[in-house]
Amino acid sequence: MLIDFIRPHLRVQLTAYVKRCRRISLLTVLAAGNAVAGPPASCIQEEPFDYRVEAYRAPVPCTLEGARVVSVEDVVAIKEGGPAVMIDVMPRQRRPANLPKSRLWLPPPRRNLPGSIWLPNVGGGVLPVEEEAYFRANLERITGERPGVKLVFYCLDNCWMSWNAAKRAIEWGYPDVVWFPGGTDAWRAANLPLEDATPIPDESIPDESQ
Amino acid sequence: MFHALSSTRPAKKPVTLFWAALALAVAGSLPPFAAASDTSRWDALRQHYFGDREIHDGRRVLALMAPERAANAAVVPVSIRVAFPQSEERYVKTVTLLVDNNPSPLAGRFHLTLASGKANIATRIRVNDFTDIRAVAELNDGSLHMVKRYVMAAGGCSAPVPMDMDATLARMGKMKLKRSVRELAGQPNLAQLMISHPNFSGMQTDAATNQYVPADFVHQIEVRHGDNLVMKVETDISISENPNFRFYYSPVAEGELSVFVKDTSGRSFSQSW
Repeated sequence: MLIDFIRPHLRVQLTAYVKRCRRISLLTVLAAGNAVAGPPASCIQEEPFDYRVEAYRAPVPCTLEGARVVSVEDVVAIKEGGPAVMIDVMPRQRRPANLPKSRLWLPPPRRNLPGSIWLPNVGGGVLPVEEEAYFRANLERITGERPGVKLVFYCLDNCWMSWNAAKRAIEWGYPDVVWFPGGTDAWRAANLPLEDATPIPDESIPDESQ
Repeated sequence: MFHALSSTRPAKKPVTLFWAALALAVAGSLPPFAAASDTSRWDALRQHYFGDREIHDGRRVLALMAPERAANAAVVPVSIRVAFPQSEERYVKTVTLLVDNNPSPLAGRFHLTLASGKANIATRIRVNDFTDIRAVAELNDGSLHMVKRYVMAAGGCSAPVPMDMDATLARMGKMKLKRSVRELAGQPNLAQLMISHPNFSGMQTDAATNQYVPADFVHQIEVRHGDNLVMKVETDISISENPNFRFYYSPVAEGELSVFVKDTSGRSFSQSW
């Protein structure tokens, strides 16, 4: 009876306390130079229901329902901790099949987090059937090889593609999805090393070197 | 060069060494930080499109205008202005428009003539990621002059295709040309050419089928006034849907402006005004 009476008050106080702590930690992070913050300061409070289908380079939501949103430090800890796979979804367009032979096709090179798996073109809001099949097959391969693995999605700072890809993985039922919105930009800003990346070929056969 | 300096002027040696060391340190530490300052991509593009030819700072020859931040990456307006009119002594032979970070970086190559009157060009392009955009003018003496601009826009090459595909295909190849009502003979007159064409980049998806739409784009345009060639343009997937160009022509006598267009699927279209 008495406990029932106290509880709501306690809850309110606790919530206030947690909020205060969050604000303080946010301030500390900002003071330390916000390059390492998890969700960027300019992130969108209200999370959309659906995938983003255009204008991918724009402020992203602060949250992703069903995923843990992480900062550079968190990623470092995750990499050192349990089984985790960094999945880079930076797009890299394939040469269109019927592009005249004389045309130069030179997608910009990509450097990403050491040990990452690069699955380009899976961050779109609408996925062509071949990209969806490729994304599914690779997630199945990764989680099949290492059960209970954390899937950490990233691309660039202010890029919706990692948000989309992580959202899709959650929708497909992957339990341990992590979203790293800072991507390679935040990683570079924290002076951490990047390495030359090669995308996982389409219709890939499980690669034992991973 | 550092050796020559330090042997003739020993007093400067520590300073020289300092700069040499600094240069080395900067060069050595570039890759991890470099994004904006990384020139390796431009070096590769430059080699591909211009070989070993010298390229001058073009700010006294031409100007390139483009928005710093584009609202719609699939339709980014760019315009090139040349500081002098086309004359026998000095004229622009070609203008090459490059979008560094597009996978197919050449947006267009405009071959201009004396009948162009003025080598100014405006069009609309697709920008796939934050990038430098460059305009390189080749003058009649063979010299190259370049200006560039950084544009923040992304996703332009893979923006969704038009919803009403049938209507788009039905309109394909229809053209409009706007020209001055009071045309001045022997003077540069402005014209605007609009070509109805989806200019599929091969990187776009069709929301109805969830499939990639194969590349299919305008790649050759010829504009004549009477029998005189005004310009010949090679275009690529970086040119926006419904290609649109503003250019000048200098008529010697009255005559029609005629346009001939070819796309990569082998269709050709022509029209006169």
